[in-house]
Amino acid sequence: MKRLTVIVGLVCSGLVVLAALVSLVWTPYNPRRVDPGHKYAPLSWTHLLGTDMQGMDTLSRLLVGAQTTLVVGVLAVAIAAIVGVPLGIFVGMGHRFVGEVVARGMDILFALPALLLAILLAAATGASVGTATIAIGVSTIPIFVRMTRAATLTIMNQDYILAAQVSGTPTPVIAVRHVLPNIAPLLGVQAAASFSMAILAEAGLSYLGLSAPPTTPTWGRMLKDANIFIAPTQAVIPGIAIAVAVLGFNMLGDGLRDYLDPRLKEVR
Amino acid sequence: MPLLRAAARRLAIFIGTVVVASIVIFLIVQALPGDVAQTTLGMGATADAVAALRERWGLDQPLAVRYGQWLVGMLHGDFGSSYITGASVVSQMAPRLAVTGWLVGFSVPLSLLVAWPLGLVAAMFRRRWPGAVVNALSHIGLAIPVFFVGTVATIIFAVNLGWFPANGYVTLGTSVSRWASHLVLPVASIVVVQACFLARYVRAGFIDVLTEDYYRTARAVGWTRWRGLVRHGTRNMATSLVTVVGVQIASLLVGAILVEQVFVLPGLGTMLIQAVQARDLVVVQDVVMLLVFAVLLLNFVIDMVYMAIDPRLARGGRG
Repeated sequence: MKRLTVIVGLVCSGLVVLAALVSLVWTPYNPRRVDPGHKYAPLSWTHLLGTDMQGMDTLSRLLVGAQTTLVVGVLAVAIAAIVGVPLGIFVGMGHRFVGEVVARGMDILFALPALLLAILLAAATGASVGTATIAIGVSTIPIFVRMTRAATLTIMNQDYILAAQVSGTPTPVIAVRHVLPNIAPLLGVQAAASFSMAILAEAGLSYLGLSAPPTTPTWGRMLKDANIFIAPTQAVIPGIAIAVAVLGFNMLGDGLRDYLDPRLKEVR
Repeated sequence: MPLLRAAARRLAIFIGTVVVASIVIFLIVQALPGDVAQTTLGMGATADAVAALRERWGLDQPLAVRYGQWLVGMLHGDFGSSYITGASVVSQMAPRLAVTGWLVGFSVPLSLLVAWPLGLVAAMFRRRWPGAVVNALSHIGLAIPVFFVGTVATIIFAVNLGWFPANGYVTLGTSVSRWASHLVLPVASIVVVQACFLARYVRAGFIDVLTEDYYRTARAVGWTRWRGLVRHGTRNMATSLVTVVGVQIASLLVGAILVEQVFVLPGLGTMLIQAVQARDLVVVQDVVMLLVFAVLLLNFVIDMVYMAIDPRLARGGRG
């Protein structure tokens, strides 16, 4: 069962990465080529996944769409980890007052999900991949803070931390040398889980037109633009792609967790 | 009265959080680069015209003054007027609030109602196939975006079967049956996703119950497993579920905004998206503030209810 999770996760996420890589060097057609003569072509050998309302090849757009999905996901998780992990360690290792302030700040971020943040940023500066990435990244920070803090707290009770403290090791050194390496596996699992959530969020934002501009093929926008009365498959295909990507990285994270440390199984 | 003091402290924190949230929202919208007046008039506009528009909208005043006016206005129930149409934001918001309210109001109890039996079955048969099936289903349900669920539901039940309208909205006052039929698919889409999420917590809650002494006692005196879990388990599982629902309310709002787009419902989400497209900053700022306030308020209320149920929390606090 566990092995099945890892395998399915690897296959699904691998497919998405492969699609993005392949699209860098080759796509069946130019994903932006409008062909009015072949609107809503059905699935066939010339157009494997058919064409959309402007005659653009769906398979080509699907492959290119994987790029945006992965780039936004990676950058958003990076933002969340770079801000959230040090904050979480800092709070977990120390000060009560700082902890309280950070906790309240995280409360606000919890009430301001990626979608609302993206809406605010888009209203102020115009929607772009950048605003979408920042919005998803910032709204993921609390998850990293909370998890890092909890992990740090358990580590702080260990004897080796006490030994380091008694021998006069400066706190920042303890944080980098003892705390960080010990919570790293947990961070990896969190990164995979957050990555799949980021993909889901990006799909939602591009569905609402709050991410990449209309000229860039994204899965969310393909789903939004599809005409379900004329060609419902054109909506189903990108939808499945999103689900496969989210499910893949999610299961990869789950499998990773069991593999890295069986004791972590019950930690959510 | 430690309980009262703890409640007062929570209230102070709540008010502080709301104020800070309003500052954050205001600063993102108003202080980031990007001149609304220039954008609205287009690049060809003369400097004089832009300056005149800025003055009319009060954009020439310092940030702090504008923030103060916005905050004081909201406290008096005046949310300002739209940059684009000039209509008061409150009058635009009221009918849309009802649409989103119905959507969320039906989705929360229904998703709990669906999640409860799913989680129960998953916990009860967690080592056999029904448990595995429910588990896998909830995993898959979490991976499918709510707008895709809505789209597929439309294709099946509106386009192919014709049971429900594909999109649009009819007010309750116009026709009850048509109002209901327009809400079925949107609500069902949200419920599918939310129930998958909640089912995992219900399952975890029931599995905890299986190891409790009171459950063992119930079994020992001859209660069946079903009766033990349902009678004793539900109440114990429910307390932990309340917090989950609180955390989940933000994602529920996001789901509602997306679903409104799928089914072209004239709710707050649609208002928000239209305002972003038109760069109508006042409307965006107000609606986002309202939604964030709703989420914070709900979490505050849940905190208070919790404290009333379990006075131990008043002493320690749970943050």
